[in-house]
Amino acid sequence: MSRDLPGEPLIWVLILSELAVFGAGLVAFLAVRLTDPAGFLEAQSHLHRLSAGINTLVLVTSGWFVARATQGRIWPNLLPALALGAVFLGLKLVEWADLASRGISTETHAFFTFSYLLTGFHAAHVLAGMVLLAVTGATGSRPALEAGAAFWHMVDLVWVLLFPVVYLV
Amino acid sequence: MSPTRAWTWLLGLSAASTLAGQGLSGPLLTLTVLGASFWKARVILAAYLGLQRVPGWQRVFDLGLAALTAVLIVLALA
Amino acid sequence: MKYQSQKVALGFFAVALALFAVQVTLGLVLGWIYVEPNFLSGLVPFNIARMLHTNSLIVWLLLGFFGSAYYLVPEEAEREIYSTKLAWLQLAIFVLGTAGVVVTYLFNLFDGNWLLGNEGREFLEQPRWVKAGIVVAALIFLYNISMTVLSGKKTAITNILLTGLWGLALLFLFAFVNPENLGLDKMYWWYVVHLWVEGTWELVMASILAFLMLKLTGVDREVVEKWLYIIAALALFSGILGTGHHYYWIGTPGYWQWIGSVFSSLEVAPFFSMMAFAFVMVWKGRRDHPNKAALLWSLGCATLAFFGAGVWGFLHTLHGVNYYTHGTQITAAHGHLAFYGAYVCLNLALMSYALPHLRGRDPYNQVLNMASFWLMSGGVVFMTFVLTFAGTVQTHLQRVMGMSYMEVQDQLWIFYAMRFGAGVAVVLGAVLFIWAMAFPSREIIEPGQVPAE
Repeated sequence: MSRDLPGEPLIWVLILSELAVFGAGLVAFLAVRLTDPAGFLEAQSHLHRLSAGINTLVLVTSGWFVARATQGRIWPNLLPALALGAVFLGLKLVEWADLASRGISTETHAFFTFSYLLTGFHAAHVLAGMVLLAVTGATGSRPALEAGAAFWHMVDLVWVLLFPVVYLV
Repeated sequence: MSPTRAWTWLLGLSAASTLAGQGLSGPLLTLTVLGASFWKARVILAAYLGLQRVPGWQRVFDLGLAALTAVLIVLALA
Repeated sequence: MKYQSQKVALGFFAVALALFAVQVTLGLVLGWIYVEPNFLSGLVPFNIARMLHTNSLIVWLLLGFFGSAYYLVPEEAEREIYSTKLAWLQLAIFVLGTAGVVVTYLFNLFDGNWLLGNEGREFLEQPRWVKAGIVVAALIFLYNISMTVLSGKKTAITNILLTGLWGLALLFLFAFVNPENLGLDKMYWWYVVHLWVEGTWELVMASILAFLMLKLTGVDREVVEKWLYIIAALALFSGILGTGHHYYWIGTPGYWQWIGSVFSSLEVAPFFSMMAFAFVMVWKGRRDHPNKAALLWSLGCATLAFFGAGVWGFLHTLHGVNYYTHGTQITAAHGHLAFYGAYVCLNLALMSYALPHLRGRDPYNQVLNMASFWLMSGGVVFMTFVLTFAGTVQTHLQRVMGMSYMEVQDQLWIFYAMRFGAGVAVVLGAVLFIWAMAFPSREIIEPGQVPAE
């Protein structure tokens, strides 16, 4: 039993930093909600709850493929993982495009400032994670892939915390 | 916990949240949904990020996540 | 000193210290203008004196960084500097540019001229020809230092140092962007000002501190390197988007208030890690290095940077707080302690370490140097507290009670008088430091027992 965190220490610095940022964002979101509960509830009804729910399954399943990639064969697992990442981004884009077409921007209501910021930041991480997985997978080095995989799981982790607060509660 | 076992946990908890969204409302919904997300986060950290191999660190993260979830629940119910 | 070419650092340090003297003297003049507002108003208006105070600070800190790089890169890379001629040329360009700026400010020569005149900005105020000179000099420097590193040993310290220095030079290019729209102008200038002091300069700071810890405490290089990478990662993670804390009230979209608040709050983390790093290294270190003054400055740097940049920065970085405190003396309090702790102390620490080697005079006068640390730091810390109180009173009277600006200034007079006193201590400390660096050649007290290395 080792006492050190598994894998590259810098990845853990990143994971902790990301958790701090998204955690602070979610706390601020719910704190500001106290000033206008009715407005937040109304605003929330415009989001695509179903597509975001499907995205949870997509991301979680992608995480499962990535976990298998680090233990077994790389590409047969990494390709479906990347494809699911693309599905996630596709659904996200459809949702944003729909919101935008209804004239909803970050300035429409405090709710949307937060929902765009939080989901936008997260989606940027999904994109970065896909690049990272592809690059680290291509090196063929196990420690590199493990670092890329850890980033991907962090993106997964952030989503499972973010989704219920922004979409459900 | 193997990746596949973790994956089934995550799917199960997501299904539970979805069902809660259909049937429950108010504080009960908040508690169920945020409780499920806390547990999902734990599973990802333990199985996918490997914290199950370092129980000391796992406790640290459990504590941090629990604190975050507690703050979120308080704010959501306030 | 192991490499002859390290001697060029002496030239950079000498010019840096001369500008340091100019900077603190102007600080004293400005402090007196706050007490006696008509002082010199016909000869050197406040805005000119303020410009000279801040710009001379930036230029001497940069010269200190360049000198530090020329001193430590040869030791890390185990190579002579690629070209000492280029280094002297670079210094000459800087001296010429600085002189040009001072003369242009003081006499407002070539007013309105595109190439030679002032641009009328608050920061990044240099005539265009000087900006071009800075770029040329920076390119010479980067070429020179990169060639040295590339041909020699690459270490984590030189990697992070070079990343910081390259980033610093590239970001300066935004100084050439000067849009008509003042909101946009501010947006771009923070790319330089903020991404320097809360981004690239932090990398320079971390790598120089790491070098000092390596030399002064004798802790293993692997341990120092692990800390260095973590500090650099934290600095960039928090600092880049932390720029948002300058975008609260300049017409940029509202989401910057949240990006700025969240990320800039995390900027405490790299400064805290640097402080933890310095103290843990000293605590773990096996070596009892005779240069106690350099160690004192290093620990002082890490500690005061944490309080000045970290704690005093956090004080007014949340947009809900900043809504009230923006542009009050709270900002001045933070600015003084942050610059002093992080970058002044850093430069003085490396100079205290390097000069005895460069001038071949070990053992070396430590007492005056250490006295100057306590005098200067005491002065700046007292100034910080006084300005913090002034800022608190100002915020309340002006922003909460709604009193007019000048009425409030009258109420702050007592704080400004005390700040002037603190300024006198800082100037005396600076003079003492420069004297201790430049003149004494004998140790006043006996050196302690030094274990063989």
